[in-house]
Amino acid sequence: MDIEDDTTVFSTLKSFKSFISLPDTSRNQREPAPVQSHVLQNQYLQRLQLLEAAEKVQSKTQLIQMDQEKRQMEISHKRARIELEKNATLSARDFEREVDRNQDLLGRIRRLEEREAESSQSLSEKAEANRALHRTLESLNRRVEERDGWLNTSNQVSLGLKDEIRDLKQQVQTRDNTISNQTLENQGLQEQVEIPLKGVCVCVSSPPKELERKLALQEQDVVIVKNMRSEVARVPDMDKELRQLREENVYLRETRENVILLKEETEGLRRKVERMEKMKEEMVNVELEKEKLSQKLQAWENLGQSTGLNIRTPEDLSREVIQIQQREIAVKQHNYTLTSSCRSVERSKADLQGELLSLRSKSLEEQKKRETQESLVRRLQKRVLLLTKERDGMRAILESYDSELSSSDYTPQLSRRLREAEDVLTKTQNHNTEMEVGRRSMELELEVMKKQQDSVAEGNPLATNEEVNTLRLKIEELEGERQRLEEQNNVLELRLERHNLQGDYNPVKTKVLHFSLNPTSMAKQQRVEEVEALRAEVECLRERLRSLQTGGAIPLAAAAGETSLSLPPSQEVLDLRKQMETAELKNQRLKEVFQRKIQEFRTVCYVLTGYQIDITTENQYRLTSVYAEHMDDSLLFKSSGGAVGSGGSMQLMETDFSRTLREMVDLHLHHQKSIPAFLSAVTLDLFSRQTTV
Amino acid sequence: MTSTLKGITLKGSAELVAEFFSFGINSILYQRGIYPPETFSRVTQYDMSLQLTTDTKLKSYLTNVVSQLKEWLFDCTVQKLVLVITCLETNEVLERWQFDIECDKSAKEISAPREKSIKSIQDEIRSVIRQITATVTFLPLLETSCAFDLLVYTDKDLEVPDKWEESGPQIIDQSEEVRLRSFTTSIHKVNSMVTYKRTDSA
Repeated sequence: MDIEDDTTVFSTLKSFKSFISLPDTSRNQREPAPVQSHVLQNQYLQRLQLLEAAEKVQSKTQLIQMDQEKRQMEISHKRARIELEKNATLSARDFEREVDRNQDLLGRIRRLEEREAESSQSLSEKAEANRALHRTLESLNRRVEERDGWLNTSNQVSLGLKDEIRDLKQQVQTRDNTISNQTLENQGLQEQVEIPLKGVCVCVSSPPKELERKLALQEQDVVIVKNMRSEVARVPDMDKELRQLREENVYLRETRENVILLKEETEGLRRKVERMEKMKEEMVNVELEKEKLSQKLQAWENLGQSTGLNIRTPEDLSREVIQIQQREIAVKQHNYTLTSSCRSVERSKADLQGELLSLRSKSLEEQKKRETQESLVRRLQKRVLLLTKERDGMRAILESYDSELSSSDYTPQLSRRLREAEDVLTKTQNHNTEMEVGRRSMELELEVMKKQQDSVAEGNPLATNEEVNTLRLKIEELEGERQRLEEQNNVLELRLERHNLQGDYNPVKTKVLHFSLNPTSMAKQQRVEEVEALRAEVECLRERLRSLQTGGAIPLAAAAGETSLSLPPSQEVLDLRKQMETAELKNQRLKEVFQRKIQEFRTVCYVLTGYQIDITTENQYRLTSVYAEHMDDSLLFKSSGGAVGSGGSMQLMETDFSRTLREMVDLHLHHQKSIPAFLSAVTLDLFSRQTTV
Repeated sequence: MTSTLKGITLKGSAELVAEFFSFGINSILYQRGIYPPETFSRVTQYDMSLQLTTDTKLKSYLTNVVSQLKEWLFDCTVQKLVLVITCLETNEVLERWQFDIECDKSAKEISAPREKSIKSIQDEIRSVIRQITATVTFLPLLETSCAFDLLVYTDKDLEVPDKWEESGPQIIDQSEEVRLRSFTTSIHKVNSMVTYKRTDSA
């Protein structure tokens, strides 16, 4: 309600503000003093109103809280209802499941009962079968006994038949005897017959013709009688044979009949025997079956002992089976109930989890809503504050209107009140904007800066010119610096590039590796080793030299001693040594040869020229004649200027001997200027002195 | 050989670069006369005839270094390879042949081969080796007996294998630098340059 009033007041204030917007500042300056008392009153009134407003706000908040609680209650009610419905559905489902289970169990019970009946039937059938087997056994036994009896009778029959056979045989024998007796009688009779025949024959022979005829007739008759006789003779035999044959026939027929009978009997006996054997086998089988059945029976009977239950009859067994099945059923029931309860529990758990999630989400939503509502509440509170302030201002205006009914101009007072209201409004609005600007401080500053710049640029041209100049100078300086730095950068880059080309690197990031046994180090090492080896060789050679200079025998020892230091005697050294030895030999030989030749030449010269020429010192020659009187008599010649053969002159030097030869010297050397003449003159002189003296 | 495969893998690139170094070093040694020419034999590689040393000690040294270099190329931990020629009498460095190696480290994670034909790489290598041979014309003569050394610039944190040791960079003072051609396998980029001691007569 208040809010709507505040909104209307707000709109009127805005219209007033727009009407009196321009001369705001001037009016503020004009009337500070009379406003103060009003301001205090207004402030007091404002405070009272603020308190009332606070109370109202409180009541509003309480209302809002109540609303929220109500909504929460509704929500909880709804939740409870939903839960109850769910529980109801679950219980209905459970009930249905229980019913189904019940039916299943009933069906199972029926099936089990049927099975029971079947099993009992089978049991009874088996019992009957057992009995039938017993009966068959008994019948078989009886048959066996019968057959035994038959066997006995047949045996007896056979015995009887055998006796009969014996009797028959005896009869046959008796008949044979009779036959033999009769044959004997036949023979006797035959003899008797023959005698009369003979008498007949003698009587008949009286008339010759008739006699002959009668003879012939008699002969014929004789022949005929003979024939007859033979025939008659044959007759008893024939009779015998007949009788024998007949007897044999009879006998054979009898025997044949007997034989037939016997055969039949034997066949019958054989069959009987076969049957008996079969019966025996069957009996054996039946006995086996009987044993098996008895074993089975025993096993069935022993069930009771083996299972530990009190079973003696199949009924007990069936009872036990029934009991076990019942137990099984019970256990299965229990199992099914457990599984079903477990499943239901799982389902309920899942449902509850789902509910939990939904409730959590709902609670989050509720929280968010609550927060939004709290923010709304805050905003509303702020609004309320603002509106109360506005309302205070309006009230102040209205009171001023009510209090001041004088004829003074309304317009300045109105305007003043309006200004006050506007001030309050602006203050609240500023407060509001500051509250909002708290978040966008940076942008406002920027905008303010921009506004300032714009205002400064438009409003104060003098200030901006100076600033612009300073900024331009700064910019130029910075530009110059930048160019300088760029050049520096380029230079440094070039240097870096150069260094990189030369092989420089950043020790922080890179390091230089090389193989330890690299050719340079190996070459250096080799060099060092060569140098050292050379130095050692040099030292050794120097020592050798020194030793060579000191003595000839020593170098051998030294060389022997220095074999460790000096180089080993190579082939070259040996060759050189050999060469050296040969050269020395050559030298020596040459020297000897030269010596001989020189000696020879000197003697030849001495002999031919008569002077022995000796070289005393450089370019001085002493000649001693063959015919010299004293050993010291010699002539000294000196050659001057280079070699003697190439134009150097010979000069005679003063000696004791040459003083004695002054005349010859003057003549030959000074006048004739011929040394050979002088020398020959001296020789002749001395020779003459020699020979004469 | 990787010529049968379609793309260049990190391993293949490392092998190619190591092979180039092996032949390049041999060529430099032959051209600069560090070892007598009769110890080299001719082989054909990159469609050109190159000289390869037959000295067993040198061969074993080169194989050791190149195999270790191949490993480092595969790990992308090597930055430069430098061939330093030192005069034995004065122990001065006369020449430096430097090969900068830039490795694309993303090839380590992504093992898919890159599209670059072996032939183009070989052409680039051939041009580099030809240029090395041509530089001999303006390089000062090495009159004294010289020895060479191979330096490898690696990352600071790399574990130094045995038989390797740290050394200085062997930089020439008063030097002239010449930048030569480069080649790239799309994983490794090799830039070549030669630095030589400035002769006073020039």
